[in-house]
Amino acid sequence: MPTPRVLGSIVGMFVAVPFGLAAAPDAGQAASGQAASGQAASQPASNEKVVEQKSAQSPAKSPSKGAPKPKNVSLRMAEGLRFDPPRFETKPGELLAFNLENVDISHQPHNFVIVQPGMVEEVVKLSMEMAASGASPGALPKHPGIIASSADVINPESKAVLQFKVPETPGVYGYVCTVPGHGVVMYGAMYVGVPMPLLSKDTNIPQVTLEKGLAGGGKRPFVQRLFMPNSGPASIGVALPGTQNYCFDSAECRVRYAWSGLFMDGSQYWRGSGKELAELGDAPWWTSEAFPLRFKGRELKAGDFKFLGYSLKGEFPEFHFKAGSQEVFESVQPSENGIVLKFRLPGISSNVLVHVDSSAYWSSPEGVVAKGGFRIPAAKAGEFSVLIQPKEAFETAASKTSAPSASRPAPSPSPSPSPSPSPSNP
Amino acid sequence: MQIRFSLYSAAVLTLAPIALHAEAVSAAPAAKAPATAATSTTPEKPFYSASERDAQMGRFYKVTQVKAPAGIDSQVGALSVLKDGRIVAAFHRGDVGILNPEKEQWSIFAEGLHEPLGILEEADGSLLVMQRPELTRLRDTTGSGKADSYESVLNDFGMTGNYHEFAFGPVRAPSGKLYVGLNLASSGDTVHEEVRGKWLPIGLDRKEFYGDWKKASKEAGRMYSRVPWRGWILELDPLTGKSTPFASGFRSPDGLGFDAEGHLVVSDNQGDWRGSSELHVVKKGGFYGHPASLPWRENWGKVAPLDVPIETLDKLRTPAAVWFPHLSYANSPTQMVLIPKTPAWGPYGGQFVIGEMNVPKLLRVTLEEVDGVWQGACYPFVETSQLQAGLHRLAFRGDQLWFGRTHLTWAGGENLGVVEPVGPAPMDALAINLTKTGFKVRFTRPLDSSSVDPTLWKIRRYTYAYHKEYGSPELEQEILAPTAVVLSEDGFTADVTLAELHENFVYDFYLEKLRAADGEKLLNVRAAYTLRRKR
Repeated sequence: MPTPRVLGSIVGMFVAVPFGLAAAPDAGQAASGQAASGQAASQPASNEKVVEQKSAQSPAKSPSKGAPKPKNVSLRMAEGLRFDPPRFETKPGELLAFNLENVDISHQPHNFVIVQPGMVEEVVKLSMEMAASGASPGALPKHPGIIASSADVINPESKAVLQFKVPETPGVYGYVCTVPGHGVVMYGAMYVGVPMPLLSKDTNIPQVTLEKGLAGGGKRPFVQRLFMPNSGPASIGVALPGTQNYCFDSAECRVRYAWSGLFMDGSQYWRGSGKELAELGDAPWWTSEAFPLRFKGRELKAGDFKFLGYSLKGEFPEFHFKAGSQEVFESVQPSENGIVLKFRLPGISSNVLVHVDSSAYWSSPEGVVAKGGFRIPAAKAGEFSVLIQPKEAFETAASKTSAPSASRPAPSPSPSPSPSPSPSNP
Repeated sequence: MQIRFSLYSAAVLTLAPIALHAEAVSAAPAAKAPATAATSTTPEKPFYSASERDAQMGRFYKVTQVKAPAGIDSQVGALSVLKDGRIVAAFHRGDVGILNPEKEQWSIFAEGLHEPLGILEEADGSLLVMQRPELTRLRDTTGSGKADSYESVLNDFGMTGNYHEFAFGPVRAPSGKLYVGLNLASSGDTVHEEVRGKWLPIGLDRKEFYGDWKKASKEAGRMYSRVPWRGWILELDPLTGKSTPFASGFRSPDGLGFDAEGHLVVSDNQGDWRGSSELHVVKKGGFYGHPASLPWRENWGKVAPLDVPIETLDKLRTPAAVWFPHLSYANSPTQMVLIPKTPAWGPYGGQFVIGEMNVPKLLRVTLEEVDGVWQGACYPFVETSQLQAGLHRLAFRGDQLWFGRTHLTWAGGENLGVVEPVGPAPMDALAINLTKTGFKVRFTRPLDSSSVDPTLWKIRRYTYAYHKEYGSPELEQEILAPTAVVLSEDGFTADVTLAELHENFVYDFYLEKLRAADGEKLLNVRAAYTLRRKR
């Protein structure tokens, strides 16, 4: 089912609502608290256990107000003795929240044990020895190579959350299920500050995962055209360097949504008849409502767009299309918390209005606040960028980043103090 | 010259012993459908056992297996030979690989395409790839060996997201124009929430597509076209970028090609409105039988295609030039390419070779035009277990016939291979042409003089229904023997006379009793001519 989209007039809402980059912490909280439909999906399920990390080296703090929010990492234990995903990238010292879920349709219990680089084999061997000497199947091996683990086994159809602070030392850390017999093939690799090789050349993961359906095999940047959820059938998925991903709809010539974390799994499509949609690595943190640019005040409609392709000359694909009679080049780049839409409009000689929507924070260094969004003056419209950030990340970003010339949070029902100029009608 | 008359003066030896649908027998079988489409024939026992066949084929053809690049899905959607002799293949997950056959090394040229099913090199070395949503021009502008430009060349056709909306081609006409084929959607599934292109307001209401699909699907048509140009061949002028709808009436046009004279030929798969798999010679504005695509014709009006009487559709359509008799010849024919006129391929040069999905078999096709009507024959060609099933894409590299296999969720195979002829041509029926009184059958070697005995020839005649049901039994079957057989002076051609000829029938030749003058048995003992127009 499609993500609900707000189709109402944002213009009206903006007039009434003060906003601004200055957005005091409480303004940001108000905003992130009120909408964020995309986040609701990641709330814990009823049968979920929250597990504290057992680790001497990097003790986890219990989440509290003011503490940095951990990055969610979904990890599933699946049939065929495998972790899904079989590998992922993270930064040294990053705080993670593993959302562990046992989806094994063969109904076997599994656990999740993170080990030092190169220690998978030894820990698996120890678990086998323990089993041989009569230990219970779920018993965790005691080994100095173990950094953290789920408290005990996670039963089929159950979930658990494990908070984990990524070690500061770069390396390829293993994760493994130590239920006796499983670990020989059921392990994965956490790449900390070291580049991931191509999936097909990765010796840190079991060979069976070659069949896994992660588009691009974990390579970033990567472009994969596939049927995608909540978009048209001619969609293009893009994994950006880092953790951001987005969906570009080639029929509507716009970014439809962005999500962070894992890219998308196409195995349902690729193994099946071709009717399945790709599965996104996480729920989108932003879903676009419409094509964001207005030329001469005109709102473009479906059918006004002509997709012309994309190029991969830099690190990021640059899409090329016509919006009405205007030729547009658009690339999307990762920013610290979100994405930056970079537009090039050859031959533009008038102002461009960037129409913002309500599910994220928008800003633009070239933009001037205007009714409905930003006005990009004609002189700067040949090349400009638009930063889109998740509401929840905005607060942190705002405190670090120097203020761009204009920015707009999502409309919030609660007024908040703002030193920004009042919205001016163009 | 020898002439010997048959002991049987009557041509008809046996009357259709296994026709299940006596009520369907009529002078215009195409327009009168039997009530059900049950298959009336059980597969015939092959003349050779599989091991015997493999051994016989091994005398004439060598098959070499070629692996797809490591670490990618090895189902081949598209295959072509570059001007420099390298092989280019596109794979199921969207990788485009280039193989240097001498070094046996693959490099990945492009990635991330959506079900690419056709590839064609252009004069400047760029590659045109047909993927589900568009025709894309891939270019390496930096000399890195990888495509960095993915230009969308043709995307103004509709997509519903239905899995069966495959897109095939492109093929290039001698004029330089390009042609692509667009599948119909299948009632095996509904459509996505969002579609690309204008929704056809004729037929089952769109909201029904989002309800109880199992129930609604019965009214959608087994195959349906609800966004523009599904079931059509499109023509693209690569110079102007302008595309034009070219011909309608297709179901699943997996194979597109051109004959040596520049006629566009298109294969299609057995199914609804396709009694058996077919090959069409396609002309601009033509309608080739599957009605789902008709409402996209200009001035069509508001009639749902399934409400049009079969008689009307039958008059509107151009029937297939060649039927591939189901099961006995092909279940699912694929791409056709022209056999090169080289010593190695000998007498077969200039004919089409076509792949087949379900059994390890390549077929040949010959075509002729009689009074403006295209018709012709198909022949089993190379059939050996080494080919494996799923022979989806073909391309010649000199004398090497490269093939790529796929399966998706159907029968088939993976990876690639090469067929090469070894030694002289086998004894085969080379080509069948229609005469006023029967057929001229040309062989690859002179026939033994005993071949003039009509009792050594068996011809089974049957037809297929034109109807909305899936497939068709063989209808109005008769077994015939020639009234006379005359050999040409060189012995290569037999002039076969039949008591009478009927249009819109398959004449299926059983030739196992014939021998070459040198005593050689036929390597392939069958050949099937589709008679559309008498001379």
